[in-house]
Amino acid sequence: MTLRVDEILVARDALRHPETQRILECLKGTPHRVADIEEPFRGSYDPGEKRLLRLEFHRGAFLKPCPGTRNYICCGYQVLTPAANCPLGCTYCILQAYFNRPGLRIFVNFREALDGVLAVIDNEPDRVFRVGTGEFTDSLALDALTGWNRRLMAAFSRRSNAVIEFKTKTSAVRAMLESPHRRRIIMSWSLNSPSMAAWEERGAAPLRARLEAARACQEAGFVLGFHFDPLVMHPGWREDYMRTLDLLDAYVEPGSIIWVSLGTFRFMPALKEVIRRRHPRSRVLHGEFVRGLDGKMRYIRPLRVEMLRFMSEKLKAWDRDLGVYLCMESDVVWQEAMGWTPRTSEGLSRYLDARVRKFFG
Amino acid sequence: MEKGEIKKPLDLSTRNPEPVPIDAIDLNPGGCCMSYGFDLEPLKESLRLHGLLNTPLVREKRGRGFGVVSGYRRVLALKALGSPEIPCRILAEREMDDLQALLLNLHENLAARRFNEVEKAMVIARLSMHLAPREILKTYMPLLGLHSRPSVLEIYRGIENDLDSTMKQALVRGSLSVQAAGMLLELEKGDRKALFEWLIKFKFNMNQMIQAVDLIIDISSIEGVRIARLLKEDEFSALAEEGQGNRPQQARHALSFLRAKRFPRLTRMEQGFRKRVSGLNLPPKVRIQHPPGFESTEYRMEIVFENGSELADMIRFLSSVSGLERICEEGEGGGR
Ligand code: SF4
Repeated sequence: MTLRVDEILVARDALRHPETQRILECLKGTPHRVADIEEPFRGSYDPGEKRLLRLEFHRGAFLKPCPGTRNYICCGYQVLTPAANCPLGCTYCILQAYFNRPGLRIFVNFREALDGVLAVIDNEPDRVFRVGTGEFTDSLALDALTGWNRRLMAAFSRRSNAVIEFKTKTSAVRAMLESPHRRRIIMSWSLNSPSMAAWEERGAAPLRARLEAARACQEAGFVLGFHFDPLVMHPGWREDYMRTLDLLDAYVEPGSIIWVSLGTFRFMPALKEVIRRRHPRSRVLHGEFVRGLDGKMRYIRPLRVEMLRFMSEKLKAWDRDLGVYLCMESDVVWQEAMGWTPRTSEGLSRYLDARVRKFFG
Repeated sequence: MEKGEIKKPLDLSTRNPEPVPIDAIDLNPGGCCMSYGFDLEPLKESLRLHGLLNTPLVREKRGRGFGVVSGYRRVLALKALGSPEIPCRILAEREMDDLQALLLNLHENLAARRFNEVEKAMVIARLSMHLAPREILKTYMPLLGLHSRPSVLEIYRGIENDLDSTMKQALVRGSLSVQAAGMLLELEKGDRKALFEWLIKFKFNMNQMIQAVDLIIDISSIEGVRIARLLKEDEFSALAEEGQGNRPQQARHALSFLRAKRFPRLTRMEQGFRKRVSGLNLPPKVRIQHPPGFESTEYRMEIVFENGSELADMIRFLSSVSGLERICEEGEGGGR
C-alpha cells in the first residue's frame, strides 16, 4: 500500500528530533507545519478527508499490558505502541472512538524508548512476553516510513523470553522478508469473510493478497498467526467465513501457525455514532448487541457462541493443533463454543505461553 | 483589525433615544437576533401599562433603514400594539461592527433571561459567522451552559441552520430533546421530516424518543429501506394511528414493537423466559429476573415477605415448584 499524507503536523518539541527530520525528508514535498501539542487538530486519516500525519513524542510507557477487563478472559498480551491510529480506515475500527486526537500519529521517540522496553523484558527472564505492535495501528502500514520493524526484529530475535507479533491487514511484507531474522517473530494477519473484507475493510489488502503475503512469509520461514477478529454477523455468514477458511487452507500449511484468535465484534457504545456518521453504508452495526459486563456492546451470548463454535469446529477440522483461542470472552462462552475453558486470564496466558515455547523453545 | 477581533465597547449610556418609524426597522430576525418561540402577550401588557422602559438599540443599515441590535421583542410588541414609531437609540453603521453588535445583545440577554435551546442555536450559528470554532467552544459555549465539545457545537449549528420550524417549536416546547434533534440532523431531509412526524404522534419521554430514533435508524439500515419509506409500511402507520391517543402506554407499546423488530432473537429469549416463569405459577410476592441481555449467568430472585414464618413458607413452597431447575435454560421456547 502507498501511504498518502496531505499534511504533516510536527509537535513543536519534536521538530529537532532526528527521526522527525528523517521522516520529513522521506515525505519531502508534503506540506508540513509546526504546531503546539495541545492544538486540537481537525480532520483525520480518513478516505475523503484531509490526511494528516502527526509527528510527536509519546509521553507514557511504550509497552503496556492489553487493557483487558475483569469479566472476560484476556490473553495477557503486551502492547507496544510506536504509532497510533491507522491509515487503513476499517469501518468498525475501535480506534475511531478511542483517540480524541484524530490523524495518524508517529511517536518519533520510539527508537530511544525501545532500549527501555527491552530492559523491562530482560528484567523478568522467567516470564514470557508476548508483544505486539498491531493494537493501536497496523503493524506494517507505516513501516515504509519508520523502518522500525527491522530494528524490532533484530532485538526480539536475540531474546529468549519474548516474541513479537506483527499484526496486519496489508501485504507489505517485502522488508520483513529481506530481514535475516526469523526467531521469536510472528507474522500475523487479521482475516474476515470475503464480503466483510471487501465492504468494511476497504483500505486493507484484499483477502487473497493478505494470504499470498502470509504464504510468502511461511515459505521464508516465519511462524504465522491469524486473527478472525472481528467476526461480524451478516446474512450468509457461515458460507462466507467458510470461503475464507477454504482460502486459508489453499494458501498456508497449518503446521507453522502458532495461534488463531477468534473474537466477535464488540465496541464501545460511543463508536456507534461514529460509524453511522463516517460509514453510513457499513453493516457492522446490524447484529443484535447488548451491553456486555465490561460496558462494551457485544452480540447476545447465543449468537456469539454460535459463531465462535462454528469457527472453532471448522478450524479444528482443518487442523487440531492451531492454538485457537477466544479474545475477551467469558468462561461460559469458552466452554460452550470451544468445549474447554482456560477459566481465567492466567490460564489463557499459560496456554499461549506454552504455544510460544512449543514454537520457539 | 482582524476578523473576529472585538472592538472596544462604546459608551451608550449618554445616547438619547430618537423616534424611528416602525416601517424603517427590519423586522426579520437579523444577525443579532436571538429570540425564538416567545410569547409577546406579557410584554404587550407591560408596554400598555407602563410604556417602554428600556429603549431598543438599532443600527443604521447603509441606505436601508435600521437593523435591531437589542430589543427585538420590544419592537415586535410595539408594532403589534400599533405604534407608528418607536423611540430607539441609534448607532451609525461604522460605530459598531456586526460581531460587536451581536456580543452586545448576547451579554444583555444573558444578564436578563435564560435562552431556550433554539435561541442558543441562533447565538451559536451567528457567532460562527464571525469566530473560529475554537473560540466559540472556549468562551461562548460555557456562557450558554453548553458542553464545549465540537459535536455539541455541530448540533446547535444544525438546529439553527437545518431544522424546520415545526422541529424548532418542538424543541422549545420540550417535546423534542437536543440529543434527539442531533440524531435527526444526521438524516437526510426527507427522512428527518418523516421520522419527526412519526415520533410526535406518541407521547415519548426524552429517553424513549432517543431509543425510538436509534431503533428506527437501525431498522432502516438493516432492512435497506429509507426511513421515509419504512414509516409508510403498514405496521408502522398502524402503530402511528394507534399512537394518536397520545397515552404513555402507547409510547411503550411502540417502543416494544421497535425493539422486537430490531432484536428478534433477544425478544424471543425474553418472551421464552417470561413464559417459563409464568408457567411456574409463583406467588405474586416472588419475582425472578434474567440477567440484562442474558449476558451474565446470574439470575435474580426477589421474595417480599413480612416475617420469618412467611419467608420459611415461601422457601418451602419454592422448593416444591417443579420446573424451577429449567428456568435458566436460554432457549426461545416457553418451556412446559
Ligand atoms: S487495520 Fe486495525 S487498526 Fe487499522 S483501521 Fe483496521 S481495525 Fe483499525
